[in-house]
Formats: sequence, C-alpha cells, structure tokens
Amino acid sequence: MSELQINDEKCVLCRACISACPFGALEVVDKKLVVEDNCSLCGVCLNTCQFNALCIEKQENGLLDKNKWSDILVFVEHNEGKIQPVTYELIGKALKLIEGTSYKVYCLIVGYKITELAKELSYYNVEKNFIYDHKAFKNYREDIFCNVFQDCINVLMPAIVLIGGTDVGKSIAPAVATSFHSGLTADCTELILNEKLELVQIRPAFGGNVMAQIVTPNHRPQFATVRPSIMEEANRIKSPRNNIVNCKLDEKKLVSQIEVLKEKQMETKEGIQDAKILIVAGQGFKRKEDLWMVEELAMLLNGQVASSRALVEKGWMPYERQIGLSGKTVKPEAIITCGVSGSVQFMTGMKTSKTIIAINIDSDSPIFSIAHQSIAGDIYEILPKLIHQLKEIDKLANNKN
Amino acid sequence: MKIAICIKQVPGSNELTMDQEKGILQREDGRVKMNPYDLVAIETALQIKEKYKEVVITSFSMGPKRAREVILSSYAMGVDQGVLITDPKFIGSDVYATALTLSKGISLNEEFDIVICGRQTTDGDTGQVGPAIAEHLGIPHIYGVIAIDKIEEKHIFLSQQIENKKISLRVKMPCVLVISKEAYIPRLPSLKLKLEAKKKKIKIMSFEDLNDSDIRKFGLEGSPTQVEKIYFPNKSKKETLLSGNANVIVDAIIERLKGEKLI
Amino acid sequence: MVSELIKPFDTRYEEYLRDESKMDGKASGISFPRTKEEVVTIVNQMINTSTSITVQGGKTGICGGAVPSEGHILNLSYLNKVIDSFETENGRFVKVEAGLMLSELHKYLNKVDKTYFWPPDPTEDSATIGGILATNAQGICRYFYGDTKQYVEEIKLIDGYGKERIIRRGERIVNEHKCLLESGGTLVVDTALLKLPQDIDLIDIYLGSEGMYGIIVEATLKLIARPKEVWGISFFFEEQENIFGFVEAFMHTSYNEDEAVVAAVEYLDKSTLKHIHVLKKDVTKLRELPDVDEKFVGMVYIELHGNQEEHIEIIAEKIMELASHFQEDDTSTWALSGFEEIEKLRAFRHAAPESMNRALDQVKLLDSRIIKLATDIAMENMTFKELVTKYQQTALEKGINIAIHGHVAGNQLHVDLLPENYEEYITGKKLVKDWVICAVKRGGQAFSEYGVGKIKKALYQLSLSEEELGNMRHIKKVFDTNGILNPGNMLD
Repeated sequence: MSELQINDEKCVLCRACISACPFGALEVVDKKLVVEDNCSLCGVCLNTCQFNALCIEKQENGLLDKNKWSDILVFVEHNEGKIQPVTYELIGKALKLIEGTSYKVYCLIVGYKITELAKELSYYNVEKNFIYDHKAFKNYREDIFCNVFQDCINVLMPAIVLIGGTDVGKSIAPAVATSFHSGLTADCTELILNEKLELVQIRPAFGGNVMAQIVTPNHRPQFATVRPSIMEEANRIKSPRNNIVNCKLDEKKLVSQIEVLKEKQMETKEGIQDAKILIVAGQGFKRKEDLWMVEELAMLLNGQVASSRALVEKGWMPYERQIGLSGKTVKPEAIITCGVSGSVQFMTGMKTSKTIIAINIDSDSPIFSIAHQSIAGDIYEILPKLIHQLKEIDKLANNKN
Repeated sequence: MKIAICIKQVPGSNELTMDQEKGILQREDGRVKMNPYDLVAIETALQIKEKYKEVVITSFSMGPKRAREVILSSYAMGVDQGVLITDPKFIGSDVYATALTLSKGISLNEEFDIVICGRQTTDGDTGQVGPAIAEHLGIPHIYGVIAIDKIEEKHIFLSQQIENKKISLRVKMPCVLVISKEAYIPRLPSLKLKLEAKKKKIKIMSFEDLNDSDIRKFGLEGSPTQVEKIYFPNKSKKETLLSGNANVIVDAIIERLKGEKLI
Repeated sequence: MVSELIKPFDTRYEEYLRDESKMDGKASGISFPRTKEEVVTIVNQMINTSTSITVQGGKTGICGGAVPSEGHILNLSYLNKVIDSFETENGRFVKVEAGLMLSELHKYLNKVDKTYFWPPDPTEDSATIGGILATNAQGICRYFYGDTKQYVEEIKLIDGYGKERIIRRGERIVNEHKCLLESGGTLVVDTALLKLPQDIDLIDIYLGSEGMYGIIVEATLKLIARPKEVWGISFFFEEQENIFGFVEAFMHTSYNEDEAVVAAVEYLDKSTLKHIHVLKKDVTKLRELPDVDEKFVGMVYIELHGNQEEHIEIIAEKIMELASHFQEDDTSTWALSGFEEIEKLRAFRHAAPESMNRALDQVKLLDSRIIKLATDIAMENMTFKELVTKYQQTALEKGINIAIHGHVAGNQLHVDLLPENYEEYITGKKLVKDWVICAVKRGGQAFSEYGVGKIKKALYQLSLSEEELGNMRHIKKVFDTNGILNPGNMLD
C-alpha cells in the first residue's frame, strides 16, 4: 500500500510541510513529524521540503503492453452544422505533439447527416476521420456515444485520446476512460509528450495556485480534456486529403436508455462572474454618455462591462454589474479598471483576478497595489486610443481570413 | 423509490495562497466543509422526496473518518440514511479508484433508482466522478441536469443544459444524474433536523466490507493517473507604474493582452 | 515632506466627501498618512494654518462623522498595520494601527492564533478599528460579551495640540468629578449629570467621542478565547403576535447551560426581509441562501456560544421547545454550526443595514437632498412588543415606510425610515425627533451605537440639558481648544 514516508533522520521539524498541507494532515507529535489518516497523497508537501525528508512510494506494475497502443485520437464536437473551434485546437495540439514521432492523428465524429460537415476535416493533416453517421446520433446520448467511442478505440488502439472540455466532453470523457479502466485528466492547460512517449498532463490545482503534472503510466488509452481557447488551432491545408472513413456500429449498440423529447435554444444570461474579461468603469467617468468607451472596449475584447459602486450609486450602471463587498465577487482572466481608484471594498471583490490592468489619473491610487500593470493616466486620452488600436488589429485579422 | 447521493468533504472556504518570497504553499486555515456543489445534489433529492411518495435518500461519502460530518450535515437537511466509506487503504485514489470505491459501496447497499452527484468539487475540480460512477455501475448518466420534471414508475423526465440548449429527456432508471449548480438553491438545515441528526446512525464501510479482496484495485495503486509533481505556476508579473505618452501606454496594454492570449 | 503629504483637494478625491450617510461635504485638502509620525506632521501643519481636520477610516459610518464640513481630510486607511500580538498576565492582546480594517484583523487572528478573537465584532467588517472605537460601535454578541469599551486596553492618539498621547486603561480615573491629565491640566466630569459611572476611566471618555477629543492612531485590543462551538439559528414567524410572544418568553428565561451561553438575539422585520431579498441576487455572498417565503413577517436570529456541543444542544432543544408554541411549522428555522457555516447566517443579518444603504442610494437619485434617516434608540421601560408597535403605528400615522432590525436585548432596535420623496423625509425627521424625546423621557439612550456625527447633532443636543452640554463643551475645550478636530461632530 502506498503512503507518505517520513525520514526522521533528515527531518529538521521546520514545519514548512505542515503549513503547506491543504488537508492539515501533518502534525508534530512528541517531537516527531506524523502523518494523519486524512492524507490524500497529493504530494504538495514533497515540494516544500528542503531536506528531502519526505517521499511517496509508488508501485509500478507493467501489466500492459504499451507498444500495442499508438497514435492520437481527437473527438470532434459539432453544433448546429458547424465543427466547434475546440476541435481544431485539439487537432492543432495533437499535430504538435506527434512531431518527431511515428504517431499519427485521427479524428472521431459522431452525428446524423454529417457527411458535408465532416468534409471540412479533410482539410487538416489528420490521417483518418472516422465518421459514425446514423439517426440514432442526432442528439448527444451518453450511453450510445460511449459505445461508438469504445468501438473506435478498440479498432484504432490510440495511445492518447483528446476531448474538448465542453459539456459533452465532460460527460463522455470520464465515461469512456472508466470503461477502459484508464485515467483521465480534465481541463489540462498544457500537454507534453515525454521521452517515454507518455502524455504529460498539466493542470491547475487547489484553486489555481499550484500546477499538477500528471501521467497515466500503466493504462491505455491516456485520456485528457482541454477547455476551449487554451490551445492553438491547427492550420487548414489548401487541398483536401482523402481521409474520410465511414463507420457503422452494431444495431444492438444503438439502443439507448435515453430519449430526447425536445430541444430549445436557451437565453443564457451571462453575469459578470462568468466573463473571461471585464472592463470596469469607475469614478473617473465624468458623464454617463462617456461610458460608451467601456462598452466599446468590452465588445472588442469579447468581455463584459462591470462597475465600481460609485457609478451604480449615481444610477449610471445597474446593480448587477457592481463589483465589491456589497456587490459581486469576480475572478476573470483579465480585468481592466478605468478610472477606479480602488477602495478596499472594491478590491475585495476582484483582487484574485489573473491579470489586473488599472488605469487611473492618480498615481497614488490604492488599486495600483494589486494591479499587475498600473497606469497613471487620463482615461479620456488612453481609452479612445486603445479602442482605435484594437479596431485596427481586428481589421487586420479579418483581412487575413 | 431509492435515491443515493454522493457527497464530499473539502477544505474550507479559503484557497491556498503562496508565500512568494519563501516559495511555499500556505493553507489559510484547517477548516473543512461540505462541497457546495453537493448541497445542490442533496436538495435535488429532497425536492423529489417532497413531491413523491415513499422516497428514501441515502448519502454516501468516501473520505477520512472526519468526513462523517458531511453525512451528519446531510441528515440535518433531511437525508434519511448515510454511509461513510473510509479506510486508509483508499488514500491516494484518483477519480477512477474513487468512483470504483463509491460504486461498490452503493451497489452493496441497495438497488438505487437514481444516483445524484454534484457537478464538481472545489478541491479537485475535475467534475468526473459522476459519469465514472455511472460507468462502474453499468448505468447511463445525464450530465448538466437543471431540473427534474417528472418521475414515473420506470422513467425519469428531466431537463438538461448542453452549452446553450435546453434539452428535455426521458431516461430509463436506474441512472446517474450530474446536477448543475444552478438547478436548485440548497435549503439550510432546520433546527429540528439538525438536533435529530446527531442521534442518527451512520453506516461505516471499510475495505473489508467491499467484498473485493484485490487491494490493488483501490487507493493509489488502483489509480491509473499519478501525480508526478506539483510546482508553482508563473504568476502574472507585476510591472512598474506606467505614465506619460498615451500611445506608449496603449502599446503596453496591447502587448500585455496579447501575451495573455486575450487578443 | 509636508507638501507631498498634504494634497490640495480636487475632483479626483470626490468620493472622500461622503460616507454612508450620503451627506455631501466640502474640503480644502486631503492626506493619506502611512505612519503616525506623518499624522503628527500633518496635524501640526493644520494647527499652524488654523485648518480644521476631519478624520476618516473606512467611511462606513451612517451619521456623517467622516464627512468634512470644510478644511482638511485626514484619511487613515493607509495607517493599517497590525503592530504586534502578545500575552501578559492580564490576558492576550493585539496592537494595531487605527486604519486597520476589521476584516483584516479577523484574517490576522485566523492566521496567527485561531483560538482568540476580539468580541466586539461589529457586522460591518470593512469599518476600521479607529472608526469602531470612535463611535463605540457594537456587535451582535454584545448581549453576552459586553460593551466594546471593555475590550480596549490602550489607545495612542494625537491630541488637538499635535502631541502624541498614550491613554492606558487603569492609569487615570475620574475621582470626585475630576481627572488629572498628563498635560497637567484637570478635566472636570460631572459623572452624575452625564449619567456615567462614578469612577469612569479616562480612556472610556475618549472611546465613543467621535474624534472630538483626539485622533486615535493606534489601539491595543483585548482578546479572549474563542468559543470552540458556535451555533446560529434563525427563527421565522408567520404572525407578528407570535414574534412578540416568543421574544417575551425568551428574554424572561435564562438559557445558559453550564459554560454554553446565548450570545446574540437579533430581530429583522418584514420590511427588512423584503429589502434583503432585493439585494440577494446582486451580492455574491447572499446568492447561496434560499429565498425567504413571503408569508413570514419577521425573523429572530439567535447565536449560541460554548466549548462543548452537548451544552449548546441542550440550549437549542429548549429554545426549539419554546419556539414550537409560536411557530406554525417546526421547520421554519435555519440552523447551522461552526464559524465557517454561520457566516452564511451572519451575512444575512448584515444584509439588513446594507439593504437600507441601497434603498437610500435609490431614493437619493430621485432627490439629492435626502440623506440617511435612521435611529438606534435603546428604549427603556417598554416591552419589545410595545416598542415595535409604537414604531409601526406612529410611522403608519405619518404615512412613512420603515424597516426595523437590531438587538432585542435592551430594546436596541434600528429603525430606518424610507421616505419616497422630500416631503416624507421632512415628516420623517419630525417623527425621529418625537421618538428621541420619548426615549429621553423614559431614561433610555437616544444614540446607542451608530454615533451622532453631524446628522444627529441637533437631536443630540436637544436630548441633553444645558448643563450636560456645558460639561461636554468643557471637555472638548480641554482636549482641543482650537476646535480643530472633527468640527461639526456631536457638538458645534
């Protein structure tokens, strides 16, 4: 049985590991370091010990013939007749991973009346695209989609399966991985193929403050999901490859316990907490009409507009956009505060944002103490120029396409 | 009707912070709590119980002995029975092994019609256990359930959200439901139930009770994924204060945004 | 450099002209000192230029205490370090700078020593220690732990002459109406007239004086052992008579069991519950709470503190038994235990004043002359029922909406008047005056914890006799002859 082992000779009782343990499982008892039964063997303590006094024993069992498994299989997602961008991102990553190896990239696409749609995949350096087209696959139904996946994997024997971290992906990936008694790492932010041709799966853990590096040494396929907009899309090639393979599934495996009764588009009202990018308006705005600048910025960056309390009080912004102690707590990828000086109440609501860019006229603004990029300047000068530049970049990008 | 819920005890509200200077992790405090996503799973089961006759709800949790607190919390909300699956042999389980352990515990207890799981946990955050349990039990799962519409003798009618679509389904039971956080606002325990909770029994299951002598299928050894190492990410760098020429400033902002892949 | 410290006022500092009272002020300059030495420098400069000073902390006050009427704004929010925590034979203490936010104090104690806490704990945790001490703000657990003053051991302040003074508890006591000061002068305090304890400590004269006698820059706070177990229970009622019956019966019984005690008893009326509901969807920490059914007309929140859960359970059982006589449904309660979990219920309780602030924001948009109109009278010689009924009836007569929430013990209920236009606001002011006069007649405290500030000054002075005011003016003159410190607060 595996467990955390403590070398008492090397341990100096510095207690760094005790502070770091997310589960509070380490303690000093009678002048010795002791591990409690709520230790989850996560390994965070190993990293903190400067004296090599800790180690986790793991057993290797080589029951699997890994040579029988090779290549990468990418699950294709499509919606309303279009292939989702995450698919192209996964293909792109897969193609990068196989460089320098003999591995190839394959795709699996499941649906109904998808022949036209699937043709798009021939414009990518995919060795083969397995298409399962049947009316049973009109809607996503976990049990039969899982059957398809198993069918494909059993034939292809891929070493690696990549699936998008979408609603469908989060459902199908763990089900398929479990059916192969193999491991899945969800929401990977980075993937690497090491010298042993093992997939190194990297993802944030414990609220994003550490990165965990994970491998699946003894089981195949190795499964990983990746969220949209993390990886770079594959390049579309000029002339299509002849790589479409039509597949069929045994009728018996098309029987599902799930029946779709009806489908409806939803009006998803995204709140500011769901936004990836937030543009925040503060005191620095002199008139309500000037808020067009933050709205424009939000649109150009695909973000949302939020507000500090001051403007909500003035009635210029609705309460649902207020960030702060008496409003919402947000943690976007990026937040650009415009004309916000940064009261403590405000900063409490956004200080864990990944990237904070703060623009305010007063160089002594409290917000600069937490901003990653502090800018002492006039929003009336900077914002219009920023908007103009972003529009130029947009134009260039559109021309390229 | 018999409903099983899977719940987990997770570290308390504060996240880990990192002492940048010393380069070590510090947890803010040693508090623990019920995974908030699981509260929604419990609420879902309770809503069913209030609407239909003869519904018995059992909560299951896998964890250290201390995790009995979440079973008690589930009693305080109205859950009928609880099982704590605990054994040092389960330590180090990844999703596959956790799901295997839980599914064994579940199948050895009753024939459940529905198993409800929360969408994810606030510590692991992977959101996989629900579908994995379903696979181990050999039953289908529905991900992203936002409402239970109706339950008939053999079928359950529910609403699922996939991306921006709302889909109405009819599913044959038994099945696993992975509940979205938005499905229900969980109730708070009533005083009466909270006081009664303490007096209720919790069934404890250890490795021996799982009727499977192959220890290698559990815990760290039974986990296909292994954590190779943990390290600190490159956090967003703090730059010095910029001021002066607006054009220079704008360029710097755009560089920053490009660097973070936001443009 | 003095010139760098003191900034001339301009529009970028507009937000510093206001606190939660929404009163608008005026200022000629502002400063954000980071050390007490800087405070001394600034104060001396103000004395030299005969400029008055208004001190600010978190600006969370609702009486305009932090609103400048003119002169210089001394904002202490950067004077916010925890200096030290230590133990003596008298107990455990933490020494902090005045600008430290209460929430930061909590964080510090959680990290450094979870077994201790500072009992006063007002619900507004973005207030600063300085502000709390200056207004003598109280928390919901005052019921058991006592007045905030008891938990202040020492303060360091800059007086009206620019000098740093240390006031330690136990060092200077009023004796036969007189107290000898460090400066050599004598303070005359007619304790009988001012209804103060005969041998009041000098420090307790400073605490609650709203910055009139000195600028607090540091404070040593007394900590006590945190109870190991804590339960929070919210009782909801469908009939107002039942709330009155429950409260009456509850307050007349002792529920303490061994070392476990009832630490807080709070009341929220139907109007307050409605306002909290409006706030819910926009405030992250409230969103997770279930909605409160409209059929409920009020809520009583009780906290139980102790070291052994068995004792708390015994109390809880007894209270549940009592409540069963007054509740239609024995599930109309919320019960949580543990400091982590009861935060949810405390957040709900704290949403009461927050929702009132939001209501004020909205009506102020309609007419900017309207500012905060709220009372915190501790009414004597009346039952809870009589008091609540009185507030409701008199408000109804005048056609003004109100919301009541607060501490059941001592009838310390906060009433927020919610005028919908300026006429109602004026009528409301008259109503408040009536209530204050009533309180004074009955011997209660007209201004129990919000402070007086500027908004309530007229009423405050009305509630005191000429002799009382005279003594207070004397005290002010001793500590601040030039009248530089926080002019406009409490006295003219």
